[in-house]
Amino acid sequence: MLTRLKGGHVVDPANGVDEVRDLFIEDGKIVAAPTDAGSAGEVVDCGGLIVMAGAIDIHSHIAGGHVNTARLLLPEWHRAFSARPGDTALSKVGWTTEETGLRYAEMGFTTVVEPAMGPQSALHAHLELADIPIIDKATLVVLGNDDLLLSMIRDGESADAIADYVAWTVDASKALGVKCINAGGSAAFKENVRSYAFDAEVPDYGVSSRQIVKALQRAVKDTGIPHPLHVHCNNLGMPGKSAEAAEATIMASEGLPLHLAHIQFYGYGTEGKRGFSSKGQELAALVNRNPDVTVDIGQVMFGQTVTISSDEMRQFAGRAQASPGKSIILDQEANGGGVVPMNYQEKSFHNALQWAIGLELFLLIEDPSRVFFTTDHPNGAPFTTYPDIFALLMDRDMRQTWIEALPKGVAKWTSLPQIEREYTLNEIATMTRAAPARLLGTKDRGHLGVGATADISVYRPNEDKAKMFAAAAYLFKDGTKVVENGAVIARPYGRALTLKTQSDAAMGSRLDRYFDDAYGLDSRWFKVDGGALRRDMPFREVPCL
Amino acid sequence: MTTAWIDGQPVSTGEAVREAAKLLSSSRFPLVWGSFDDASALREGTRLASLAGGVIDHRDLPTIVPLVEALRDNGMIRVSPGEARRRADRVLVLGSDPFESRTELFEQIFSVRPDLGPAKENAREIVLLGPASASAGAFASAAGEVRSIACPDGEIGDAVAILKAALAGRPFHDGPFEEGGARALAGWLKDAAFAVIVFDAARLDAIAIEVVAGLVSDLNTDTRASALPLAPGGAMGAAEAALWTSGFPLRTGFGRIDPDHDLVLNAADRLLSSGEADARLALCLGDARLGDHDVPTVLLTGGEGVEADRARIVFSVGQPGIDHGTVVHEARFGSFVSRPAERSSMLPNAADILSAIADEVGARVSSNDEARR
Repeated sequence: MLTRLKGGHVVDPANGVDEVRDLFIEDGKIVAAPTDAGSAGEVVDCGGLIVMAGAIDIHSHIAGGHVNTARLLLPEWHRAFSARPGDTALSKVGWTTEETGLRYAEMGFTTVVEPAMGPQSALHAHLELADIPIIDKATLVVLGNDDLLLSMIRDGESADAIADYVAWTVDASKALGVKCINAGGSAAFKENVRSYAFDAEVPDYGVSSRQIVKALQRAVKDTGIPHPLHVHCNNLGMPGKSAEAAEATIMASEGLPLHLAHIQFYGYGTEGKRGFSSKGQELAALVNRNPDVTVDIGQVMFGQTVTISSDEMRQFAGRAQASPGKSIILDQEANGGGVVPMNYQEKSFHNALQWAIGLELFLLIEDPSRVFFTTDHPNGAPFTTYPDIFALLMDRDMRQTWIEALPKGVAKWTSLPQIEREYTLNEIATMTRAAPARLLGTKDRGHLGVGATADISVYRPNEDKAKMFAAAAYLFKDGTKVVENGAVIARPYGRALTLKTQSDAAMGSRLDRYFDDAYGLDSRWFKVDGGALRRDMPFREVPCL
Repeated sequence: MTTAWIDGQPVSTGEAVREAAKLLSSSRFPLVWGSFDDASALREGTRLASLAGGVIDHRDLPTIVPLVEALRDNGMIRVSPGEARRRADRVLVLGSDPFESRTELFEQIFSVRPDLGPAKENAREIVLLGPASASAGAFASAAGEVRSIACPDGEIGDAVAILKAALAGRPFHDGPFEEGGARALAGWLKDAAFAVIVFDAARLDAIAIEVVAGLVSDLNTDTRASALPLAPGGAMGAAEAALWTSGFPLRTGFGRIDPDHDLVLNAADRLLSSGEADARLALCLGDARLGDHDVPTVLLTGGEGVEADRARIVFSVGQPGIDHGTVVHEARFGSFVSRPAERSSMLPNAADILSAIADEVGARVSSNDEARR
């Protein structure tokens, strides 16, 4: 059936469209306007509404072992477990796979990337993703602390061999890309190293973080994976050292694309009596000067949340700030990780400055196609805070109101009060639609051109931008209307986007032996079998470059 | 081949599904209970319990309750078996042999010397703190030096608390240790390159597990150490799958719209004894049995005819991993693995039956909602 979205203001920067026009949908795709517009079987009146492609979140921890551990650790934020339910952003997230799908859809999101899937947790992650309704999902598989890669680099194995290993892992785990998290840091922590920088060597291997990042960056390119290597730098959150790590990593991109995750957590200097200051301006300038580099923010918002990370060294160090005071840290093959609850407080100088640094970076990085909209859910804040963040980006007066509520000392340590920029709708659409689709290599989405997947979000304009983005007037997923007036009306299952990477058969045999010899594990356990997920079509393949 | 019965009479699967849905949706508070080791069955079972407004519980949940409570209330630094195999130069084993029925896991960890980290050249040192003797049982064949310190199972928690005090330099009673023994053992852990403390999580209570976690946490102030709690994969996998489907690690009720997590109130035995559960669906595989309770029952049974006369509606189902594929938590891997069927079989998959009943219950719920409007 042909559906006509009639008379909406279409904001589609990927196709240079920013005007009132109709859109037509048929069989889950956007189609050209028919000669007789009246032939549409269904007409959705979008007069006065804003029409965009479905939003894409490139970095949100929504599934897998560590996310599930957070659920185990923190039942008290689930409404039913709480004697006095708190109206917090985290409690609004709910805690289940089903709620994840519903809450994202209500805000007009149609694709979300789980960015930290350990190779061992791949089936677990995909089982969870299979239970998330409506949205499409994808995963980045984590390498860079694994014994095999570090050994290969130490032993001087060829770039081809490393690319084969990466290709095998991406294919086995049904990932869309590769992430490295504090490359070498988790491996070093297992040898009781407590602080680790870009050029430090992992004991036992004599391999530096730089070597690991460069080897993976090249392997990702050689394998034809569209999404550049997704890097969580060393020394996250450490004043001074974090900014140095981000700078060193950016400078190491050396002409090849590189994505730096949640860069806000690296924007910390050491000035002032508290030894904590903003490096937001410097980092933004560095990003502006390095066109190979893309970043996402990891915006902090105030309130209770939980940090979930495969950066085991960082999570171990963060135990001291756990609130409530409990945490789970995992030593595991490769990265391991940890879950540490966190309460970001508006009255805390540190937390308030973190909030300001995130916004500085959002606003000072000039090109909206190189800065991505994330809170590193739930690390900086739960994804249910997105509407407020859209409003902060689009409304300088609102920022001013928030700044006035912060501790007095904060304003003089950040350039935020002086920044006049307000994001336009077109820039928001670039940052959350057009650019993420390009970054992930998913050409069928992020835009509203003919042939695109009919993932379409429609918003009702409102002076209060938070209200506008909290509740989509309509959301279409694969052409089906799934949200109306902010409420879910249908919950079909989306799919996980995967790549078909090719590796030499000899790598398969080598890994069969390796996992058995080194860890006593069966290599077949690392391979995700779509049949185990109990969905008709669990995957949708994205072509390699 | 008949695989479904109502009141002892063979019926089509569809008919039995409709009758089961009718029974469960007309119940005030139905219980969904049984051998939910297969994550696929657990996912569908949770959906069914949620749509029917009942409770879901696993037959082996008591074996993981102390661990769940300790993790939930206290947290832990823990290690996967594969990493323990490669790094643990010193292993403290608590209580009666935790590897008694875990031969493969024992082999994975103890059949080789550690080969990563500063102590990789050294033989692994193993201390058994418990009733077991170093020369008895599986540890006689471990690749490493084994010695034992006698301690009754009931005093393991106290012994670990004594080690914790010794490590911190606080005063303590010797407990099961010889004079100076506790301080020596605490020092031995502290001087490890990577110490691992392993225990059967079903044999310690939650407080004792929290004390182990506390000792490990204290050790990590200066050195590396990690806990390795051993728990049955079936119940652990069910708890994991329940976490993402309901937000909680089981014994979860759906009687009040939002899920309610309560390990005591939602225990199957209590709900049946008190009469709060007025209907049940039981998935009985292996040696699982219905027990003495008399309540209208939908039985999914893996054994031919076992206790079929005690249920109104009976489905014969296949064995996961044998008659059909399965997804289970594998302790050696520390995560889920999928296993294909071992043979071709006509027996239905319990997950499919549960799914069909859930769909039918869901349809009844929405048609009731329509009628009310």
